Amino acid sequence: MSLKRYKREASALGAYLILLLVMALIAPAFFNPGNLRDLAMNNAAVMLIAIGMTLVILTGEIDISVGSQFAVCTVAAGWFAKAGMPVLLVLPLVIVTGSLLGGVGGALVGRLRMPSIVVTLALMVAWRDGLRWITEGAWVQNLPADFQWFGFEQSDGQFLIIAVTLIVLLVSAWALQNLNAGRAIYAVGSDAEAARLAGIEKRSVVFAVFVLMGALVGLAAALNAARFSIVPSNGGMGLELKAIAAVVVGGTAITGGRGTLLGTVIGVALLGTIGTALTFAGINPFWEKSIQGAIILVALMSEVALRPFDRWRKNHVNPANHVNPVKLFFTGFTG
Amino acid sequence: MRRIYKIRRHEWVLLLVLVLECAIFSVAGTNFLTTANAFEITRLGVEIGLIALALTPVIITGGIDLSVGSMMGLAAVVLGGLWRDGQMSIAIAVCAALLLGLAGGSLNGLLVTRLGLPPLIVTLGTFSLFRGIAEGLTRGIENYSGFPSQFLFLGQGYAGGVIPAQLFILVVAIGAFAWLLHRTAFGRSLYAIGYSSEGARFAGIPVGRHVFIVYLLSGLAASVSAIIYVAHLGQAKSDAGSGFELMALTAVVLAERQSSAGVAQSLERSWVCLRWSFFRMVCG
Amino acid sequence: MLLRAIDISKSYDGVDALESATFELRAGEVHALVGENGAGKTTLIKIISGAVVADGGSLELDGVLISENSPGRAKSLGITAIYQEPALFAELTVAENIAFGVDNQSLWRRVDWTKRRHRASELLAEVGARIDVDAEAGELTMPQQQLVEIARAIGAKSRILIMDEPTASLSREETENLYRVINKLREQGVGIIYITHRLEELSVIADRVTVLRDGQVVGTYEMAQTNRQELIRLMVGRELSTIFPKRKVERGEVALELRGVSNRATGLTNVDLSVHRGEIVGLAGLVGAGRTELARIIFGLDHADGGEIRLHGKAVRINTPADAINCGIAYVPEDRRRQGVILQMPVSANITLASLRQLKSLGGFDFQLEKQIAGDYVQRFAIKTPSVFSPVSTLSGGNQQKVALSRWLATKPSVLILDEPTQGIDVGAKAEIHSLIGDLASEGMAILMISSDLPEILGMSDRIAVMHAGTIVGTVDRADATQQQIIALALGGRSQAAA
Repeated sequence: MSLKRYKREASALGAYLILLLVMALIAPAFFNPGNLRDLAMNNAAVMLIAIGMTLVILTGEIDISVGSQFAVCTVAAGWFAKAGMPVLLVLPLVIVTGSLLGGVGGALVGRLRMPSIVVTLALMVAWRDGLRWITEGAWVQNLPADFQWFGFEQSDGQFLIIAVTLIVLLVSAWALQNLNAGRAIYAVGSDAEAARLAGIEKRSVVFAVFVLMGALVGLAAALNAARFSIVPSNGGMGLELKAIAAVVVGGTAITGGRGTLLGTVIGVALLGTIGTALTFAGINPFWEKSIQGAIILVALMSEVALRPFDRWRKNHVNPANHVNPVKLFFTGFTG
Repeated sequence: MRRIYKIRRHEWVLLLVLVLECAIFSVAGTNFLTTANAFEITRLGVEIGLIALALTPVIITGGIDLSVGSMMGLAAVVLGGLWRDGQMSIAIAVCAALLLGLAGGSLNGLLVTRLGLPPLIVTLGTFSLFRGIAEGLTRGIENYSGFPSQFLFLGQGYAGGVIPAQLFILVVAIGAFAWLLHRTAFGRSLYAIGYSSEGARFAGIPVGRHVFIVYLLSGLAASVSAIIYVAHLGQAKSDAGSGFELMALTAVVLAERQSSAGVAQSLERSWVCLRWSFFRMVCG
Repeated sequence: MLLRAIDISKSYDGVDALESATFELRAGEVHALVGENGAGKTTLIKIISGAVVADGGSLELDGVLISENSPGRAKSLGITAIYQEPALFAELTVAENIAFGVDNQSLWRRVDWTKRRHRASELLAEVGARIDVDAEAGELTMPQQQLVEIARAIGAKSRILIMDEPTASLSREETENLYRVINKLREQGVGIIYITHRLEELSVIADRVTVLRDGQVVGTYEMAQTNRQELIRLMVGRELSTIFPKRKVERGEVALELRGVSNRATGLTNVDLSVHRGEIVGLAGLVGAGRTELARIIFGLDHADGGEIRLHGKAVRINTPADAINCGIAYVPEDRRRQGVILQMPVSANITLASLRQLKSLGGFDFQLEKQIAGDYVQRFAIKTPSVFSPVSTLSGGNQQKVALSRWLATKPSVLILDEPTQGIDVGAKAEIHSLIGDLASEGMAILMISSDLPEILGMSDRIAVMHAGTIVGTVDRADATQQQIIALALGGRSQAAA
């Protein structure tokens, strides 16, 4: 594999290494295991969701309902535990819940032929409003003792979370690269027509990817909920945007067909570390968001610089038109 | 000309739903249904409504702007900071906030039109950037308050003793946007660009320029909304407008589905925004 | 007999693209398809490759009827088409692209990258391509992409290979290489359908040739028994109808003048052209000769590297379509549905779209005026539409074109550029549009008409400029022009005395 193909990931990695280097120089305390473990804990959920988001974006779609799905799954985890389910069963149940939510999205995007941003926007509202209506804002309390950290010691529980995340990451990365199913995702995002000629239906791939995304959201929600002893009803705020940002910074093209999970990992790491790095460096940590925003914009602009000259794309898809709910809505026109 | 005033069936349905919601919540809730309360709700609706109005042209052209809520936060803290710490007159602070909105909008506009970057991600970046700068400047805690009463009137005053002052602003804004979108050549060109930017270009429409203006307006509306918001709450914090972009976006996108009549469309968007503020009040 | 297409018919929008066409292909033969633009070649191969469904007729492979052809079905039967637009996955590697065409594995199989790369290398070697199998398909040049597609077809054990103008953008060496590959395939018993405009290569590569004209098969001939001259005659020979109403008009002063216009990116070199008021200049040439590219420069969609454009004697700088419109230039593009009109918008909005400034009034927008202008054009051009507020998508092709024309006439131009104005339009509407164009010329408009329809160009134009490979190779007066002459020039001949 020639290095030339991974320019984007390389630049993101370069930026991250520079960050680490700076940290090593001015605030080596950053690398103390306690801090690193905290970082891992705080970013595990985002990592898992970013994996799913990478797959979705690779197919040329997007899912902004994941934050709301996360909230629903978190509450579901609490309820299952409270209902007396053995802890080991709670995890798969929440994953199934997530998959169901994801399946709804996948079916709608495939069937309705509406831009995924519109469908998932509506779902985002629907899931969160529905949750709020049912829980009335109340958090789930009085959970069984073995809910937190799955009944293990805190350090074991943390290890479990990190291990699971890593395993999922490695398996996904391998599958994306080495299974035909994974390659189908790239094909569909690159050119749906050509994929169809090769016997791959975009609709089915998109549905599967949304279900998978949902499952990952469920997993992330369950793992994250286990860190605490009570379960919030408003979790996952802003999670979708975090995931998308990480995917984009990692070099995945929003138009689909191009990107790697390696890049996403770097994206999660880079964006997720900024806040802590600022604190350790003694800089006002409230600059975190602005730096993250700047990184996203820089990543985008360098995408333009690095994009190979598309010799044949004469009718190049105008990115400004990529999000276009308008077209399907305006049935009548008035002056 | 009859077309302007024709309110279609959809709007009646929405109005009915609104009334129903009022009824249900007044029965279920405690001191919900008083005129005073009703108008208070519209206050918040104005701020979201302004943003929803400005988002409409953006979406019509096939773009999107996620950064409006964050721009509100930034404009708010700049307003507060310049007035309190910079010792500038409130008028200058307000102007600065407006200029800031234009600057933010032009950043979005340039990245989208000149570099051809996807608006979703560009505004995702500025969504973080603007809010981030606001938080950075105020360390997340700074809370500017003690604004002069003439200023506060904008957000808290009553015209004629009953109607909230900012409602007028919203009405004017609705009128202005409805006029812009449906009664000007510019508005017409936006629809054309949204349906087919290629077709619009071949018709001689300066697509880049018009799309840029649309993002400019969006940034400006965010700063206007911020000013009203600050006047309303009497304080300026970096979290101003949090979540507003998604609410406004939902209002715009979902409202598009239901109606297509010109001014009624803008009206409807305001209905939806009002409903949103209901939920926030009731459930929040 | 490998493939037989029997009595194939296909019409679009009331216009016959193909009429009772019959075509056969033997195994191990290279069978060329020739004809003018719009003669039906592309439609025929699209039907054979399953991309388009025929209205009537049937396809037989090895004597067995193919029912319900589709791209997937055709592929499984071993029919592969290579068009001028590449069909590769731009972001994926060459090896993977080839694999997609060749493999048919289930989704859960593990990918053997080594085997893929190895096989890709072998296939590429067979076609004589020196391409890195790990290169991204989007970064390859056109000839390279073409070779990858051929390699893929070979790997898929195609029995029928359809090639649409494969040598159009190849260098001499690349062309030689391609012929080598084709010969190898021929020896292996593959049947090849070869569309080309380069008649001189037929004697080198083709066994038989079928000539299409106006959607009908004129005949199929052994290459050995015919020649270039004869083929041209068969391609164009038809009665010049007398329905074109071009009157004798006094031509006025020069309205549009191009001097040495060039554009490296699109291959235009040194174009000199002038159009007078009241005159219709026809611009003939093959697809790819640069006609539309020239129009785009005049209209401000692209920039010229060199040369100048003069309008009514004054040099002008045209950087955007808006500039062109302000100078009084109008352009009715070839792609009606995507560029000429905006389908979802109503007739009235489409008509006024380029002249919105005229509608400015105190209240912002004068709707009454718009309705009136639209109504006027609908009446003047007899546009058949339920109302001026109907979306243009509900109109037929001919009426859509009238809407497009109306839009541009509403800008009151002095120079009108028409790009294939009657393409895909039924005879009745064609005549109407021709009449309109004639009227416009009599009223003093300078008209540049790009057309691939020879009778149309010969009947309508006062002068005919012929383009080939980015430059104008000859200009002929109406009185002296013949079809053979035009097409000979278009195919690359130098300006010569009437044949």
